[in-house]
Amino acid sequence: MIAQALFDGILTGAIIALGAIGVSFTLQIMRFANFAHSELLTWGAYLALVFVAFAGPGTPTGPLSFGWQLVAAAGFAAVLTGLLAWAVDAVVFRRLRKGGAHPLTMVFAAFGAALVLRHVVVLIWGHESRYYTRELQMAYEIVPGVRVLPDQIFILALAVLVVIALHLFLTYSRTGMAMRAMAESPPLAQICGIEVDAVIRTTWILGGALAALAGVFTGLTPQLHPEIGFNLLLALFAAAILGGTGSLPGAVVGGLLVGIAENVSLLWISPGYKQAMPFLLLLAVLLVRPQGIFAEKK
Amino acid sequence: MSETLLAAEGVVAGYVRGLPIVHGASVSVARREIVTVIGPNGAGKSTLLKAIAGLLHIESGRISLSGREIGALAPHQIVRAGAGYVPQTGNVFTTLSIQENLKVGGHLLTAGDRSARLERAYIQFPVLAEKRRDRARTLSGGQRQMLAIARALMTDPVLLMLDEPTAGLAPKAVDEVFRQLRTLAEGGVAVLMVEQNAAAALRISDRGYVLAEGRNRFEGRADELLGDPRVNEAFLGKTRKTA
Repeated sequence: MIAQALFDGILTGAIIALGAIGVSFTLQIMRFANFAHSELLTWGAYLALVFVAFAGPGTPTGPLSFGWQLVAAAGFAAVLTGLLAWAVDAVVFRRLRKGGAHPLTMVFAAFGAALVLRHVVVLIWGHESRYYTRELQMAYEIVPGVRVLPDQIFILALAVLVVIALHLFLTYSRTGMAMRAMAESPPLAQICGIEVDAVIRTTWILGGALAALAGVFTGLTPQLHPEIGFNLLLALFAAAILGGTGSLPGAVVGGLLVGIAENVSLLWISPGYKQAMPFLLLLAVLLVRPQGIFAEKK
Repeated sequence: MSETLLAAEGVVAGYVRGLPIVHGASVSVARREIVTVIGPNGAGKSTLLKAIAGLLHIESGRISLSGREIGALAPHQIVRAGAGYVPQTGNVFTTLSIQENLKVGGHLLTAGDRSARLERAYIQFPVLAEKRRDRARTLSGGQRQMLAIARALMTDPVLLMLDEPTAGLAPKAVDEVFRQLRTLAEGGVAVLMVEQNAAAALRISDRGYVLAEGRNRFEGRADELLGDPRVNEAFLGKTRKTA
């Protein structure tokens, strides 16, 4: 039982982590809580659906319920969602930022942007649930008591690869280093010759692309609806804050802890309380480390 | 006097629009010159440096570097124009390694230039070479200041601006910072610094300015300022104790 809950938690956690990375970097680099980030997950999921509508989900490859088309759809959604995140910034956040808006103003603007983004999804695709594929899958018992779907293993592997790629990008590339520099100190980054607007653009595009992947993965297990992003909103923030904002390992570990806490708690408490678990965990961690697990004290 | 490199005239600037801290200050720096700005706390010395570096909005006045207007440029464009700036606090990225700090300092360079300048920085500041993989937070105050200077030098600036480079340093580290600045000036970099440690800074400077309440009070050759009883009484005696 507990092993199954752990596996489910790790899977949910990996998806939450992909979304939390964007939240964490927006918090750290742009210094505001972007409550519209969860809607990027929803948009990513639906943009992939558009691709699938034209190309089909593909014939099932091996034990998976889909073919290469769905992977291509995820890539397509990642690119477009990255651009969408950038566009939302250009229309809403950039103007406020340049005008020196209070962080609270930014938060409310984010709420507004979230509502608009979510309802446009409803307008275009409607309320009803959608599926990328109707293929049924057999669960495999990988260790005694733990049954997993091949799709879930695929998602987990892809999430791990994406995080590794992002880590390499942040550690070694010129742009990645500029992002880390901005995360620590925007004024110091500027006097090193880093263009703030360029770093902010990269942050949006990356955050949007990762959110889209999280959205597609959520939609694949097993369905899409216009609230898939919104339902994860609090989990994303709990994960980002738990790990310590601006830290990639922080967002990943935060995501995993939130996912595991939600799923393991189901063994003892009713599902209605599941969403409170990340917050109990958050309170416990912040009492000991107010800056989060990975962030360094200022 | 050789040709003027930096000319700031009648600069009015502050943190909030309409509430300036610098009320029309002017400074100029020529090539190979070390110029120190002294004055009491709240005189607007640091604000003036931040304004020149492009971090603050300039309400009026003109700033030119190598004959080019830089008053309206963004900070990264001012770096490109040839100015390096070392702030007083938070002047290194504590979460990045020493090597990463230097690489970020060379953000505007091509990969080839960046490695070449990195090697040059390690020769110039051997203490940084030993610790290149360590996080900058592990450095002592003096080492941090060296790293901050080395980082600002990555782009080969024609002008290096420093905000209180010796604040909080041990006497030995103070001497080391001043010695490095002298070497830099002899190598052709113009230096503009703000110092609380006024007498010591003036002793290695060519010229100095005394700023009070955001305006120029005195200016002249460093030795003249050091010998001027008015400057001595009002600014040097007092600042020496607090430094």
